[in-house]
Amino acid sequence: MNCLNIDPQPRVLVQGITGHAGLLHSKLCLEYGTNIVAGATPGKGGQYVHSNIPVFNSVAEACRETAPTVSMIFVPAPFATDAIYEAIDAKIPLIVCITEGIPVQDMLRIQSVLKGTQTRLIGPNCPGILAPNRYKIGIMPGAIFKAGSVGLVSRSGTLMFEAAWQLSTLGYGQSMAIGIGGDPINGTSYQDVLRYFNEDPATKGIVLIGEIGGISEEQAADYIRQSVRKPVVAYIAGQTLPSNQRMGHAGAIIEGNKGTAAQKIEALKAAGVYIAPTVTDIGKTYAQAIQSIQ
Amino acid sequence: MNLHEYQAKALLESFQILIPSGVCIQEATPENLATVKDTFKNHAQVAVKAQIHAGGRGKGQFKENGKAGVQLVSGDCLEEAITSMLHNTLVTKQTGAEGQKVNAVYVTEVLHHTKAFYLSICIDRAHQCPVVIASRQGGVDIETVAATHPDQIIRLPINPSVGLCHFQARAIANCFQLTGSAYTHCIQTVLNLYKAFVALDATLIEINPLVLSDQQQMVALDSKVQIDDNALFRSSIPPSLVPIQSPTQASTKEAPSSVIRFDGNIACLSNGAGLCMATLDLLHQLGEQASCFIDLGDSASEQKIDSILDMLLTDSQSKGVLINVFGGTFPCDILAQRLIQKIQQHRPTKPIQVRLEGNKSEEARELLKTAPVTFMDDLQQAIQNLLQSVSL
Repeated sequence: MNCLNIDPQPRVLVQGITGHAGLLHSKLCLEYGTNIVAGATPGKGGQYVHSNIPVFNSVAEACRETAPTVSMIFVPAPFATDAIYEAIDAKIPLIVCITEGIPVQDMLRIQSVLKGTQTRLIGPNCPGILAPNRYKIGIMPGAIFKAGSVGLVSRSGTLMFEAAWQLSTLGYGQSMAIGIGGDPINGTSYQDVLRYFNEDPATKGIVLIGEIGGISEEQAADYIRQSVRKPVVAYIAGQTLPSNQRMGHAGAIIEGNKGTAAQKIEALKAAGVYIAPTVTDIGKTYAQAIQSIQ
Repeated sequence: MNLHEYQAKALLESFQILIPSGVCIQEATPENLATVKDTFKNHAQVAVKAQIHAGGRGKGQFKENGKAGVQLVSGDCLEEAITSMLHNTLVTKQTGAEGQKVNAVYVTEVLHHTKAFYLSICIDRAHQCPVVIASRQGGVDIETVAATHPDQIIRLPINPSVGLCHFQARAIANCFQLTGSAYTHCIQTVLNLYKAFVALDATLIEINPLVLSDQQQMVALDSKVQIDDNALFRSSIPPSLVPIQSPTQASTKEAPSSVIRFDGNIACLSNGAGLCMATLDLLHQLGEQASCFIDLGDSASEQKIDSILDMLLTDSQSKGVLINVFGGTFPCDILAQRLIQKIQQHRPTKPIQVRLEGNKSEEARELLKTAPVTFMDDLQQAIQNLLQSVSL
């Protein structure tokens, strides 16, 4: 298994499959070619959705009957923390949590619990993961992705779509697109995804989409400098926004003066990353980067 | 969500953290003034503090009268101090030049104290845990202390599954160089503060200064509290404490009528925080700024789309309209349909530049063929084109 616990032929459980978002997106994932083996919603066990997908009352029951290797979570925020714990308890290798709005202190406890397990969490508040022409475990518009060798990672959903569309339009298909989510605390970091792409033989180059706030792009730059041996292109959103006015000073003590677009870009440049100056240059910059190393 | 000082202190008091006595008033009515005067009739001096969501109040100035945002006054000058603040606009180094309107004033006792410390709990994103920060030097700019005397600041990472341990509370009391009953009271205060941090789903609690009173007790003289918006669904905070947000803080997710305002000429609509920022960046890089900016989100109802389009098309400050939406879950054709309707309703005369990609964008393009809008695939060309037609 790879470092993100991504099964090459994922068997997907959908937690919250009977809700509005779960129902809609599980259908779109099925149409894209994803192998959805079960759904789980407390109290809705025994039903079938999309004609033949069985719904179970619990994740444990779904695991016993259908052996999923991924759980995609659409459970509403007030119940999503519990849904994640249930999936961890059932020892599902990979959880992709789409849900937006999970309290940050819940995420701190979830991260602390995950450390002692083999489970990997991607998200929350993310568009999911997509392997073009193979499967999508998330909410992306499938049509903009093409199969190829670019590894795409982004905090933002819409910017991931924008980048994928530009790359596909220019003929640079993707090996995999991974949305790590826009929350302050994420299950999976840029480094985790960079490591996956670096080790993945199908990935020839990497596009990283970042934004202001936090220091995850700076940490990614450190990792790229030390370990990544494939060309990396980055775009950072929020370059012209006024820096966040912080309330109190505790955040500044923790993070120092990091977190602005200029500092992120500088750190990435110093790590040898090709920078797309504006949002419309992401695809073009990747083309230049690939051509320059050939 | 940011709380005002008086709200933050009321919450901390409910977790057995000591605060100076105080009265908050929102209108300078004769009854309110009488209550305040009566409360502090035995005090030679009181502190009058403007309630805004920003620091630097003591050195800040009111636009209207140049007075400071924190004033130490005797009972005779109390009314004058209060009226110099209420409903006026305070400018501090954290508010920006536009300042913040003061809708509440907090009058508190002036507490005699011998030592002032700094104590806060916030979330360390990089290490994914809460962290307690303490310093022997309080009441001053903590960032300066961190730069000049890093040895006087301690940072204690908290395991979120375990909570703040007693040894960590002792480390803080030691950092403050306390002994006897002050040492014991400090430990209890730190433990209570962490309890409050967890129970309130706070993302920041900062007490600066935390002082040692003549009775050897720890008292919070000032306090900043930030609550996680995502946790409001289970919040134990009384609804009366939930502050009304200023328009620039409110998000379109909860309130479709809100919008972020800038000083430029283009009314912008986009979706998702990342693409919104990127669109603003590009506009800025091409030499223009937004007049207003609206985030459509990813699951907008037709009703919400309509109210957003109303704002976008009727924004009086703008000379042109830019729509840049990448449909993920959101189908672009719905937006196109509503846009056509709203253009017929408002008949705007300014140029409208549209760029839609992703989910149902082909259908949207078809729909907009006959509408009085310019449709372009390339965002950069779209903005350049719009800026040209605006300048004509």
